[in-house]
Amino acid sequence: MPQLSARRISGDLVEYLADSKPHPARVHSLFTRAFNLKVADGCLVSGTNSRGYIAPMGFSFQSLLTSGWPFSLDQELILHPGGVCSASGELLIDFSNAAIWNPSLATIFLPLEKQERSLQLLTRILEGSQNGIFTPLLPGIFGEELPSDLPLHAAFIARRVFSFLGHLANSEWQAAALDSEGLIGFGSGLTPSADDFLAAILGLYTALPLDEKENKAGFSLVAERILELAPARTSLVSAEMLRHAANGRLPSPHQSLLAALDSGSVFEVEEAARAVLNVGVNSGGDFLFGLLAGLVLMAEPKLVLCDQIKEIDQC
Amino acid sequence: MLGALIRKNAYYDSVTLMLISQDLKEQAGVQEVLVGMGTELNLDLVRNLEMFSPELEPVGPNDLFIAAKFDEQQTSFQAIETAFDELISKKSADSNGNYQPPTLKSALRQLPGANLVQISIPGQYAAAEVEEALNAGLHVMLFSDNVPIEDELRLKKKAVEKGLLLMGPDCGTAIINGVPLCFANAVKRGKIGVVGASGTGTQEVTTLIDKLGEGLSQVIGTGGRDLSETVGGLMMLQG
Repeated sequence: MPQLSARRISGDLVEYLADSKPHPARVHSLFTRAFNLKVADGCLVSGTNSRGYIAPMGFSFQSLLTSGWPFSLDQELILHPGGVCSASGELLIDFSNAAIWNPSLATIFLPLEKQERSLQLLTRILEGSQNGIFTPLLPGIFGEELPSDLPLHAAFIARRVFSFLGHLANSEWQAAALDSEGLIGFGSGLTPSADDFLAAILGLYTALPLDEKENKAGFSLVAERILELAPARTSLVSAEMLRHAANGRLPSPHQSLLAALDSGSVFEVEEAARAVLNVGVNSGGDFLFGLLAGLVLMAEPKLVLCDQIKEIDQC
Repeated sequence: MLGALIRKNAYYDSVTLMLISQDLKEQAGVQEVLVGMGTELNLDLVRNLEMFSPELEPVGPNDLFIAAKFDEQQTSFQAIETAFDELISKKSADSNGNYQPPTLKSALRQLPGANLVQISIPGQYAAAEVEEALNAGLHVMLFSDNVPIEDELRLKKKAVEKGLLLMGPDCGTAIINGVPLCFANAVKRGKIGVVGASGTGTQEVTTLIDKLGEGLSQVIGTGGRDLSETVGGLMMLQG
């Protein structure tokens, strides 16, 4: 089996491995273009070879592999600063030539009122997309009526989504934290849709300069509750995604989108948003929905919908 | 009749899960199928749909579950389970393990941000695919020939209405955003755009532009019949 060479490695993984001791791991999940290694202490490390995608606590490869992964499901491996070895010590993935990628988000400084065009663009992209379980709920974040024929998953979760957003908009942190319990782990896919939505909200609140100390402290209540519940309520892959997002770390396409929003360039926003949409079947769309909802409620909190919740209840 | 199965600690990528869910729903006698990770809230949805069966009791958030409602006169849960296993093993099609979408719809699910489709199938079947692509808001490069001129006219009118390009039928040369499609030469990017009804003519012009030191912004082929009286240069004007 040929040895693989990682092209990029995330800074948090480099830091994690810096103690130089070997970290025993096993192959947790294998996909065509990605895999996850579960380290003995519970951490998940991801390898990806898809269109430059790299995740926090992860590494990526230069090009598509044609020979498959050099290990199988449940195989025991060892991670160390130089790479990934088999249990017998053979180097399977070499980290020595990998460039370090920083998974941490920069703060978005561009004032929300100057992001109107970006918000319009994101809305249009999402409207035109078939991606996302939450996408049919899009009119609701602008105070418009929801369609009466919502698909199954969207109809089931609509009330909880708007209750959560409404409480965030009104800075009712305790109530928003309670609402999050009704969202974590819901939806189809490897990372359930509601988790992608929550990851966007967590990432956004981390990246925005929330000036008031009260808001920072308030939102941390919500984030803490999500992180407390996630390990028992969703898959390990998704719980790890939420943990990283709450600490201001997002995968490369999502990070690029937040950076593009800060740049104020609609061209960059469009390119980055389309790259996010390409993540998974619904994940990208549900993340975009969360991002858009978060941005709208911060810019125009009054738009968020207590009325919408009443209407859904009446249905 | 209800049935359910659990695959402990099983992870499949979302494309596979979604396609399997759709394929299972199309099996005769299957009324509803939910495939997902066994999280508490996903099970709430299963209960809500009155599809919860005792087999689901031990499911956890890292397990895959399938819950089905079916007509036992027409099928059995065992048949659904067998179909699931067959679909799982079939979904990785090519020798590199990369999934090959069999339809435009499934290709779009894999690449939802795509805005252009290249169609190359026998001409008599091409119109339906072009129509589907235009309805999905995609620009089309139609390599197929032998497409009836009535279809060409109808579809080009539709493309114009939607502000989309329909390059072809019988279009073999284009360079869009610097990406050569079908037969195109390696030329510099620049500020000159070319719209051509002849592929080889377009190739000649673009290479001459490149040779003279300028580059190409976009190169659009229209198909040979676009400038005919019947079609009226619809794509030439659109380009």
